[in-house]
Amino acid sequence: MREGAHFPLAARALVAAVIGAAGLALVEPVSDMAQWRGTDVSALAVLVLATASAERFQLEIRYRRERVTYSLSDAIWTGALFVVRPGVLVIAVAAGVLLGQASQSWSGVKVAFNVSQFALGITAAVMLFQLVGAPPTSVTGWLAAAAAMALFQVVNTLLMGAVIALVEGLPFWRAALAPVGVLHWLGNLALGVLGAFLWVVQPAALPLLVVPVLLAYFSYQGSLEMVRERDQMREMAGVAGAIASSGDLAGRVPMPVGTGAAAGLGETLNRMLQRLEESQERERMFIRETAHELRTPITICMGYLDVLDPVPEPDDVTETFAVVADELDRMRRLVADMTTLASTEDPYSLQLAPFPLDRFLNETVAKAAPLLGERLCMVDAPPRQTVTADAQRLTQALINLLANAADHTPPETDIELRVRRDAARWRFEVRDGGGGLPPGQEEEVFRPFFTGKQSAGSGLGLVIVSSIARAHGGTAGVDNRPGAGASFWVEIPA
Amino acid sequence: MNILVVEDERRIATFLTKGLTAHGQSVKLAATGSDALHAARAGGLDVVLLDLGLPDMDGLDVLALLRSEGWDTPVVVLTARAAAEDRRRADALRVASYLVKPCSVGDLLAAMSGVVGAAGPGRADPARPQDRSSASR
Repeated sequence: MREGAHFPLAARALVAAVIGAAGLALVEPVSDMAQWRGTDVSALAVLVLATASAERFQLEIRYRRERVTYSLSDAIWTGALFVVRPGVLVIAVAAGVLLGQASQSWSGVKVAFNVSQFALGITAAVMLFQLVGAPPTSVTGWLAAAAAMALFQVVNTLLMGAVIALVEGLPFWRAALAPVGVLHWLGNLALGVLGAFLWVVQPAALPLLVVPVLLAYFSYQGSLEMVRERDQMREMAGVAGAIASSGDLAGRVPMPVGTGAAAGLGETLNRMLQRLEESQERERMFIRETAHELRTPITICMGYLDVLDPVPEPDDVTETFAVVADELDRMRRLVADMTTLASTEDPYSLQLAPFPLDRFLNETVAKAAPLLGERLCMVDAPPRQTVTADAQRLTQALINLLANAADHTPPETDIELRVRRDAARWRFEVRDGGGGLPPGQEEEVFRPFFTGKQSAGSGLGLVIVSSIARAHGGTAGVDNRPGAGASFWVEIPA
Repeated sequence: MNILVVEDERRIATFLTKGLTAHGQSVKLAATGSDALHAARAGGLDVVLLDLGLPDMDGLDVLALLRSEGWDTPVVVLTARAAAEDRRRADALRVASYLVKPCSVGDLLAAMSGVVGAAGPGRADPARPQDRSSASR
């Protein structure tokens, strides 16, 4: 029952009827108390305490927004059916539930109703069991206990269902058919019968029951956890499937609460979706910018041919040919750099091998000579060292950095190639004495086509450098000295 | 027509000048946003052919500045930028026609003739190559 819910008249009538009926049901057991012996009083005390404890300290297992409680009350009462006086059990249930629920800060009406419906249920169970009256050592006794506790469960479910339906305005069947843990009920029944059996046959063995109880609890908890994670994974699979079908990579799978395997999977899936979305956006941007870069040379070629006279002057033909050839070469370089970029971004194309640094640098300097001539100085290169990397790719990265320096510095300034090593990394640095970058452009220069029209390059040179560094597990960057020059560098793991 | 061609790419400016002049149009060139502002404010133009990716400022910023000054000469945009956002902004600045590179001199002339109400004295039909060749001499 929801706390504070409005109580319709029918619900009040039902609650009053249940409390009244329970009062009547308790008359006989109470009047029977005059016949009790000392063992009955002790049994009552033990049962009240056990019931109150079971009610008060229910083991709670959370599943989504629901709560599944694991209580041993039914097991205690099942065992008591066999071993205590009927009146003792009825009074113990009423008193135990009252004691257990009174400390839960629930309303008086709710506690009274709960106590009453438990008292009615256990009275019905006791009466049914008494019809057979078999001991816990016989199968008949077990079946009688099962029938009695089933009746108890039916009374309990019907009364609770009826009052919830009336208070909440739900159809009766929906309130009454709230999940009843059949396995849980069966487990408690078996536990109770087993307890009574041991009590009769060998009471000293009773503590052994703690072991299956704990095992049952943990397996119960484990199975609920499994069901919960299964549902979470199904939900994630549904959302991931919808994302895969629609292609809308902006979607994310619902993140399960907690730190279990489902939560880990959800986080991984979302991280993957984030990477895919970023990658898709990069790809779109790259296509847009490539189209943009190709438009200019195509426009120039088309334009020069368009305005060429049908009967052209020889000078016009020469000029047009030269321009068209030059623009075609610009497109060729762009396409070549795009191909290089695509291959450097393929992680499987990297061929790591150890090589001597001295020889590598000599070869790189020789390849850069047509670009830089005497302007290139080697600084700080440690002698007789071995580097493990993809030599061809690393050469490409350094040539691109050197070409970038040559492109953006006055022809008379020196360009330095520095190589340093610390414990974990190799650092290859191209330092120029040009004007440096305008402040704030340090990251943008590594974006595709950032250099634009003013550069002789395709606009992909530094992107390729960055891609090569990443493929090696390293990074590329620039230390900018606005007005004084820039140091572009590549760092790779040593 | 008196046409201001705002274009920073030298080769594009060259063939546009050649092609438009060949069709009897009068062409002025501006290679930067500030040059364009200066030339537009000087007046005497029938239409402006505007590139957007200028070295010193964005072509649409140039136009926004001019429009805010009450300058209402027709503008045809010729750009490599095909993004919808640029087109929307151009529409808001009353751009008469938005052409994405590459496009022919004939296309340009058609677009510019369409926005200038009366044909200029040297206007030629871009569909007739003989006009183009005769006008170039």
